[in-house]
Amino acid sequence: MGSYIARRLIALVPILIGVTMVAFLVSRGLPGDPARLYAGMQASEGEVQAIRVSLGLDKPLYHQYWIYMQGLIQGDLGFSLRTGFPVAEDIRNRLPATVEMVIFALAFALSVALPLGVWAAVRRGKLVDRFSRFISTLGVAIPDFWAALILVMIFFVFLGWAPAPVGRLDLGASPPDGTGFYLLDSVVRGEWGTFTNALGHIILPMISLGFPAIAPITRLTRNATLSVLQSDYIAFGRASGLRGAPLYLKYVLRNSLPGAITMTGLISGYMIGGAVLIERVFSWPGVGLYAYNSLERTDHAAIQGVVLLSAVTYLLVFLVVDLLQSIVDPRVRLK
Amino acid sequence: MTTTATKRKWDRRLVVGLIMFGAMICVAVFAPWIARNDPLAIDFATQFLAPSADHWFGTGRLGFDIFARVVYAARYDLVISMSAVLMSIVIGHPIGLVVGYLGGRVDSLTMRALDVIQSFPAFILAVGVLAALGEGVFNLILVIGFVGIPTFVRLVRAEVRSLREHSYVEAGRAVGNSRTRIMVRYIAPGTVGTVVTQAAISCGWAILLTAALGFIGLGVPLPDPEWGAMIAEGVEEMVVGGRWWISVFPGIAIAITIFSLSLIGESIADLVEPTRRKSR
Repeated sequence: MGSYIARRLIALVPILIGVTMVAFLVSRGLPGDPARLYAGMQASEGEVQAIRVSLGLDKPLYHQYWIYMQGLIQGDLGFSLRTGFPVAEDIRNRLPATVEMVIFALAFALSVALPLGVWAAVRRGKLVDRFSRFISTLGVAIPDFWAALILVMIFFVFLGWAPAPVGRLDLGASPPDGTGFYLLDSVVRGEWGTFTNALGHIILPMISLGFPAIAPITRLTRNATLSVLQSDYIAFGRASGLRGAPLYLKYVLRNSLPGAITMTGLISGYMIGGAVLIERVFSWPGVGLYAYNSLERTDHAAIQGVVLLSAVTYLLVFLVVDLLQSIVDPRVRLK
Repeated sequence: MTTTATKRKWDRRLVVGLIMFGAMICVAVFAPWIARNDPLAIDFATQFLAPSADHWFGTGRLGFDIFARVVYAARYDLVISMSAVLMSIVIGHPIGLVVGYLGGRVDSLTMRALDVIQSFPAFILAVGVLAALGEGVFNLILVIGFVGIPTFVRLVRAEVRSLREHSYVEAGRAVGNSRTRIMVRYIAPGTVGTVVTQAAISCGWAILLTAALGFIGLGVPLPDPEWGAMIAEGVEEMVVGGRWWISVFPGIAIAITIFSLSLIGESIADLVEPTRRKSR
């Protein structure tokens, strides 16, 4: 296992370097003058030139990349023009909000999709199967940010059951101290009012972000389960008298997992992007809303910081996916 | 279920998908005849009207007629997404063909480059590049097309790698055809099926991406209508004023279009790859 992890980490290095090159090229190689943007439209040519020198923009591109990498290794993503703070610090402060939402969305999607996929496979061609296929096609067609708005319309505007989409807590409520994960913090501190408040606010974002993920995971689980059900060892299990939940949970589900795990990895990459849209609908103060607000003000350092962070997160997620895969299916390690 | 019954069922999906998508194309082409109102007419006298006989889908903050805008936006969303997919194919297909056929170092280098590009969540990469390039229809096509290239390269490459082992290709080589001729005449035709299937799916995905970018203000600049940007215009109105119609109708248009494309994509996939049908 140790050597497998080591090999995976080493394989990650060239890709990480490639990712930083792309992020660098996107921010520097494309038309537009970063120094002019940094200085603002009113700045004189002399001031712009001074900023150009101080940012190292007068040097050749490969030299600039070197400077960029030196900063990056020290966790320096530049300054946000909008907030006036280092981008790395801004992102760190907003990360728990996004992570909390993505974890809930993933848990929601998996807890619906895995059982539904297995069920649809077992009752192949029956009503459940048709229903799950319908949901799948629908889930692909509906934009998640629009679905989020429709949920707000129904449950907040019309029914009044959901809280207003104003972020993670009611307006004026004070967040619990601690890690920034409000649900966790409020439980640790025993602040039950805050806990229910935060829980109420996370439900609609969780559903909106998780909903598009249900379709592909269900479909994949269903097809994997179908092939498992037709295998000899399940026939053997059945012949040995295994029936119902033990058979499905222990043998069928476990053997359908590898595909579902990979799909979940892919989905979480999608969710990193989707968070920008969902956070805008719910004014959720995470990294996505930060990116959105930075876009409105063309705050390039902040945008590039989020872009780079997303790629690195995505790569780490896939590392975790591979490790999980090797636990579920030990043969993976030998490849 | 008999085989004939199954076959008829998939054909029906294709027909329904084609009719729905064809209808959307017609809406885009004949927009001026379908929408009586000017989609760009700003009129504060008709601000925030609920759907009625005069304004079927109601009006927005600037008094825009939502119905006219939904209809005209079909032009933008369809042109952008279809051109982008075309660009992905025109660039991605030859690359996949060549690296899949040649293999070796060119192949592994290309794959590593794709790994790097695909390390970025597609939407985030599009946001990053578009933020640097600036908004506009042309840039949107460029960025969405670019983000879609890896899918086609991988798809065609995988197809080519299995096709090149076939005996008819071997025969073509034996009679002395050049490498280029083998690739173009012997192998490329075999990739058409999967590419068409993926094109339909990618087109739906490109519409979603266009709308998502429009939603965060990186799309077609106002006042030109685009579904995603139109949904964004209604967010605050819905939450604060309960004016649901501004965002609801453009979203339905997106859903119908993508739904029809996924019907088409899935039924073609079943036609091209009959074994797929068995697992259903």
